[in-house]
Amino acid sequence: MLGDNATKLMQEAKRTISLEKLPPYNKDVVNAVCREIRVLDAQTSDVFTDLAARNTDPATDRTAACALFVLRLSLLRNKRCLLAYQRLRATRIEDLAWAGLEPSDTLAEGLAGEEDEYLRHYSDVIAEYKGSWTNVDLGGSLEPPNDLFIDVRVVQDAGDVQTEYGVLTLTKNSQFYVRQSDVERLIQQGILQRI
Amino acid sequence: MLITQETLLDEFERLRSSSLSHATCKASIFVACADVDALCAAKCLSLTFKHDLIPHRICPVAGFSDAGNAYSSLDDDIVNVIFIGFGALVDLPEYFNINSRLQRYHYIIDGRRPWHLNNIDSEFVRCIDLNPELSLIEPARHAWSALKDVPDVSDSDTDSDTDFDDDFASSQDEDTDTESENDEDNPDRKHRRAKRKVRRVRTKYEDEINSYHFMDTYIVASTSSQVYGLLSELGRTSNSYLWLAVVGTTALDDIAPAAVQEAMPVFKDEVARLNSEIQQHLNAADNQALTLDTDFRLFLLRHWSLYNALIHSKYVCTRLHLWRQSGRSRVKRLLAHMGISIISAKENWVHTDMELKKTLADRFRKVSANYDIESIIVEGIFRKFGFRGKISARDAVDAIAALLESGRPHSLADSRSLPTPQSSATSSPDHGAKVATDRDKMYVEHFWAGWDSVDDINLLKYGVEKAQILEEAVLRTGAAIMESKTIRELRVGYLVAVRDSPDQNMFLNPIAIMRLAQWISHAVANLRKPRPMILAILDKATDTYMAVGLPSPVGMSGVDDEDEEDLNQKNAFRIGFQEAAERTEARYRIDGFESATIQIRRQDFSTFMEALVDFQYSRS
Repeated sequence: MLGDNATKLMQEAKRTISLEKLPPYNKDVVNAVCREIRVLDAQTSDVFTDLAARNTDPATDRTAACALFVLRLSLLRNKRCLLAYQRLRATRIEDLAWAGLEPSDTLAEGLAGEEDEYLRHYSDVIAEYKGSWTNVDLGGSLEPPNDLFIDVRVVQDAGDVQTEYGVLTLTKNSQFYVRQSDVERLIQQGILQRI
Repeated sequence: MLITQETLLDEFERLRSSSLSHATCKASIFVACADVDALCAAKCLSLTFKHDLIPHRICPVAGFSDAGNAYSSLDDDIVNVIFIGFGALVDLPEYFNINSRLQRYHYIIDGRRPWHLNNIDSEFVRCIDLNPELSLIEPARHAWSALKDVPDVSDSDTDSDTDFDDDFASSQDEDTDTESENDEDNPDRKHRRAKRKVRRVRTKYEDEINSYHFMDTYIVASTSSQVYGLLSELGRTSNSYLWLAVVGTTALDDIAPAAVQEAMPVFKDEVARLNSEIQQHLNAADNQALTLDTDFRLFLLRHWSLYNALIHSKYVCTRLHLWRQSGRSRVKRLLAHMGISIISAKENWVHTDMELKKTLADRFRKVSANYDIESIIVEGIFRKFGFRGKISARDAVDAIAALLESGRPHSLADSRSLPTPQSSATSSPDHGAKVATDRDKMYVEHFWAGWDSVDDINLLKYGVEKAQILEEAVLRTGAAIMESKTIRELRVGYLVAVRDSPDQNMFLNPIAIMRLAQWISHAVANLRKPRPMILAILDKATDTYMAVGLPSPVGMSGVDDEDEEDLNQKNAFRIGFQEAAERTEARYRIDGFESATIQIRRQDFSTFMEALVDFQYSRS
């Protein structure tokens, strides 16, 4: 039925939001939706040529007006769905780029060729942007910290870890009360657990 | 160096300023992990540090070897190390190889006495003692520093001034050695006389030192009350600190009643000062006030039934000999006297009749004299957790101790199952060591369960459940021991050796073995004369005995007619265990922080006991 393919795409996009990894680019459905748009466009032109042949004003011919209206709405909806799908993936790719991911990374496996290229270019842009502010970590967390110092517990042995101002000796099962900025990376890596 | 009340504030200021800098972490706290008191003290200190934004590290350690490893892996940035709950009795500068290279300061917060004099003497060790017994310490300390100035008469003067134990042990050999050498090399009689004089002076000083060092071990104050002392000097007391101090101190109720009785009145005043009358009765979700209320010497009464609380209470059970068949009928008689039906006594406390709950104290008062349980009613300190109920300090201690023994819940399925120590059949020497280190690691993990439970009522309630299971095992095992008549009477006290008991694996940890030992000790003392006791439990996994020595229990004949001195339990077994183990050349391990515990190989156990009896007898 009309619009089924676009719905399929939306369902997939919805699923993607809660997924860790981007699913492979659904080329078949995207192509099907594009085809549908072209068919709708052709049908619209058909209606117009028919009207022109009969030399009637669409405002007076209510059947034609209704057909045009439905065709137009379906076409727009399909377009919106395509863009939403694409947009979602683009934001995810941008996030990947901000997280410092390489295109070869496993998280980037499902990307289509063009998306791969987008990731690479976007990464270049970010690198260039970061390059002009070397003393600020632009890739850091955007959440403002609640506390300057936090409690962390060591989950796995990691030996000596160099931080901005000194060394931390991380042995399993000890607890630290340290500056949050010093250990943020270690928490991300799963060596420390925040209490 | 000794830090007393007067110098405490300056010292904390020094610690604060030297730990506060841009460096990541400059202070490290070492905590004895199988010790509720040390846990509370460490938590208190950690909160204080947080208040001052001092970055620090908390490192629980299971024993001396564990502490040694952790200490040696410290990085050079650490300039302050605080030991909580251990260290007073041993020569820390020697053990940790403390020297002036790192300019690192070490603080010892430990209630055990006597101090090792090298700790007091060392510039980099600060011994925190708010009420030092200077009459005891000063002469020994004087002798210690004077001994350094006396030249050593023997040729081998390497490290003889630091390691006095060796020095003392080999002094007999030295005598003969130097005598013969003198005859050959230095025939000068004057010189020899001078030497003899020096030797006499040395002996005098050494005797002085030994008489202090070889004193019986005792606890003067809980570590948490010492930390609370620091906080009140700083003027930073608050309910959460006070609760920690109260719980930590209550944990010592069995092993150091004198210290507890000294600290409790102060804490009760503090409760009244920090919690207004209104706050104590206010019903609000965030009300965490502390209150004073009537408490009983019953085990987890508010989380169990009255009947269970009665029979699992060490106090009631050992006094009424409840482990016997006849004892059970005595409980029923007691309940009948109090006008409580068995059915309502066996009802869970939550569902017990309100009327009964309110009049319980009065009912006990009426009959307590007849059953010799006069001091069953005590004044306890409670903490509210908003609408989630309140818990008494005694119950909190039992719950935290249970968590330290058995760790946090893993999943719903095994939440009621017992802790299962490794039970493997192979027994090579390596295997024994491996089992021991595995156990150490386990205790350290459990430490954090206890740590988190202090302000997490849900975890605490889980601990309460665990404590009930563990206490049931204590009663079961204790009763079996009392009935089987395996208690041997030696010249120095009672000896109980547990070889074949279904639950014995549960007691192979410092807290549990102590609890069982206390139970048996009290039960025996109620039947016979109170005397010191040794409890040894066979660890089949390593083929060793884990033994713990207890002084004779006090407070057996009522509380009122005893003076302070009597309550100070002094444990004679610390020195005894060491001496006996060395004399018999037994393979042994003294690693725990509890002063009178030892692990000894099964083959060596009987010779060890003989040596111990001889040694203790010769001392007394």
